[in-house]
Amino acid sequence: MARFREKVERLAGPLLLSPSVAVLLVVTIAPFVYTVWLSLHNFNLSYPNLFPFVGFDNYVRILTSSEFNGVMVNSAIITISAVSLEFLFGLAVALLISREFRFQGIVRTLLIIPMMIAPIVVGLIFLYMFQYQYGVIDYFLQLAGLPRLLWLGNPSLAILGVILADVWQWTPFMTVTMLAGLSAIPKDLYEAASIDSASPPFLFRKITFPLLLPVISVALLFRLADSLRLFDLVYIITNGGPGFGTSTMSFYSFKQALSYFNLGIASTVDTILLIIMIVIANVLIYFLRRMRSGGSR
Amino acid sequence: MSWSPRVKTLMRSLLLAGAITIILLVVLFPVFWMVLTSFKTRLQTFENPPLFIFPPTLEAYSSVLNLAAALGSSAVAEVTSWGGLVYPYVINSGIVGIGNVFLSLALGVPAAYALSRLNVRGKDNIAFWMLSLRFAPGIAIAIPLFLFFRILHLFNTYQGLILAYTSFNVPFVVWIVRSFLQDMPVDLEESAMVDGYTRFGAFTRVTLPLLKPALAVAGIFSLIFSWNEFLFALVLTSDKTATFPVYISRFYSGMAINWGAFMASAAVGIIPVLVLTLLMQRYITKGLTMGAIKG
Repeated sequence: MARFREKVERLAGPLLLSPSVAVLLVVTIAPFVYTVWLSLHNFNLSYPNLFPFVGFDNYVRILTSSEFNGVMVNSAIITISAVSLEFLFGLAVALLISREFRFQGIVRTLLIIPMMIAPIVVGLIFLYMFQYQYGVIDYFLQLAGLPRLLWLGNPSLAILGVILADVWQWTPFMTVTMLAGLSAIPKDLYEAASIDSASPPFLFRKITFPLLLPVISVALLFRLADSLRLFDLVYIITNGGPGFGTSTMSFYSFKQALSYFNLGIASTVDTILLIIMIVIANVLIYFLRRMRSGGSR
Repeated sequence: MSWSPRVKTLMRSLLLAGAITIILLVVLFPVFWMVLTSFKTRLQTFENPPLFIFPPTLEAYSSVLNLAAALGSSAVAEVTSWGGLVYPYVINSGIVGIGNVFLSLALGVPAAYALSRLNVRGKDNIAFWMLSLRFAPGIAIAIPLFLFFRILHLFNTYQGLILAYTSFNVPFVVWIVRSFLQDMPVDLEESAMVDGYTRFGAFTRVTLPLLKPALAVAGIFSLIFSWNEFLFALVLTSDKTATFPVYISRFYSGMAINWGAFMASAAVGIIPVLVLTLLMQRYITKGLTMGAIKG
């Protein structure tokens, strides 16, 4: 009987783990493998019987096309500007509201509202606000004595529009994460330092920032990955246009697959995106493992 | 010139109050604008300068909720540009969301338990592999699943979308529940086992009740993630099972968007999420930060 129980105990782990691992293999790893496989073929849904193996031809075609290079530049611009703005605003707001004040609870609750709203809804609200004829943003610009802007008329302004919507929605994520990080910093560190009458900027540089750094890096990586994959806001605010002028990698791949049925090219783009994501995920895991062995918990 | 300390403190708190007010204005304005627009007539939504004060009308809500019958007016039926009611899509979102919460918890909780309490070879690597799936590019899953599902007759079914959503919700559930379990002392469970409970008995009687907050966090977030998800729903469904975000995206296809009707249905669709957020605020903050500050 005891040996039976021991055996059950030994089998329990794999038994409890295997259903979820099996499902995840089916819904993530199988699609990834198939994506890579498709990227090595010329496959168009309009001609489902043709499936010639072309090696790395799709990669050569994609990486040398100015259209796709533009798309990668769009993704890079959106990611870098959105994430840095979110970081700066998020940190500033977190530092501002980390001290005790009345209504703190309400303020914190209201702050998380943007990220609970479906991105597609956020996109349409901003699309309405960005309208040239009757949009409220141009109305405010005019009130401030600035010129009205044709937000969605040219690629650079349209990209800025997408970035602003993303920053509006995700700055609160940075704030909330940093607040949690700030509250984990032991208070006696500040008390000890204030005996030496250290200035606030000094405290920030020597205590707050270094101790917040692990949280900052993880939060940045999460946001980095999310905005590199950005799809919803582009779909609804600019539809990738004019031309492919505001398309991100995800949107470009979507267009290739479901408008032109060009699955070979779409899968090539997806494979490139996948490789970038694997790199980011591994950096994150490296940070998390170091945090854990660094004795921060 | 020297200020008395009291004036200084007063000025500082005034500055703080001012800054917080500006932040809240920026954060809340788009939501306020959505709600305001949802009470405008179609013509009013196109007005320049934009209207801030006007007699509110339920015209837009009527067109997407079919309040016409209830309110005894018939002039609103043609208001929606493409003539769709929001109900079926909200119901689809509900079915997919709730179905997915149950499936993700059923798969994720045992896995999290195994990864934190039982002997499994390479369990740290498995846990990190699951976390890394949080970074999976959706498009590289959606397109192959679209091809698989067409063959397996799962395209445009609830089951198909529920299954697809496990790709991000199961890793999330595992990660949240695992970090809770790691923070929970093992002693309680072990002493219950010494007292003669089986491991399963100890789990259901001792650990599970303590795990309720974790299940709440994991469940609420899985629900919200499914509710808001757009790309998979767009690729893997068509009319019959399309969810609320897909419905919202279709306002775009009309020649002239009916902004009022759109804002009204957007408000209807995000009310459940906002209510959940306000009621469960404690858990929400926890879930948001867990991935970032826990290893």
